[in-house]
Amino acid sequence: MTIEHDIKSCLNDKGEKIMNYGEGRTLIELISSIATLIIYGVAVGLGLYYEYIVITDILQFWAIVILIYIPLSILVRIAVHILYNIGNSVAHEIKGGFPDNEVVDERDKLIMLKATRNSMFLFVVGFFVGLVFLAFKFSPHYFFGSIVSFGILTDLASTVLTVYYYRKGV
Amino acid sequence: MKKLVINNNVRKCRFLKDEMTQLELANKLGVSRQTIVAIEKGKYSPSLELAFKLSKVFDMNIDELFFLGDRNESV
Repeated sequence: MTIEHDIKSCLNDKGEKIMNYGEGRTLIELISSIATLIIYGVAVGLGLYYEYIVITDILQFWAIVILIYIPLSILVRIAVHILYNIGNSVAHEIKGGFPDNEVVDERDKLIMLKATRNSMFLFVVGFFVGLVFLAFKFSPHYFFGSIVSFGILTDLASTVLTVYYYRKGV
Repeated sequence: MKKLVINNNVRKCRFLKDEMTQLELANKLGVSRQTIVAIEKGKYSPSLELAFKLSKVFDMNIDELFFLGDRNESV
């Protein structure tokens, strides 16, 4: 291992800057959560629940939708993490060279903390928008819809901020 | 309040320590190589614990390794 390796490992074959492990992991998390939400949303939209559960009102519907979505998204995220780590190791094996030590250290935790804290403002805005819908006697669908929509935006903002902090520094 | 600029001699110390690579230093400290890159570029100020670990690896005081502002590198 030489100093040359330090420089080369930040670049791809064409000499362009590539993303590091932390940035890649964050982007993969975002893609997987959006994919999960879309697939789950389509399943809900097609009414696949109605074969198994009798839903009588809107609140019960949203409670069931959210209660199923949370563990499902956690499971998908864990699976994606495992696959990403395997893929990363295989890629290093094929390329040769020296893999980076892919540990989550104090800097990663600080970046995650700052990105989550700042992006959570969006979720708060979404909650307030939802409350405004309720206050003006809109259907609860609008309330939950705004919470879910702003939840996606929060996830997106968190990813963008994470990559931003990795590049700019904290 | 103006943000303090903290510079360091980590890169120089690494070269002086048998041309230690970033990955070797990262493994010794238990952090990622990207963190070492960020510290050397001045994009990240390490915690006090990590700063002490760095000073231990290079066998020098913290104030020899990290310094305020644009002071010339002292090592």
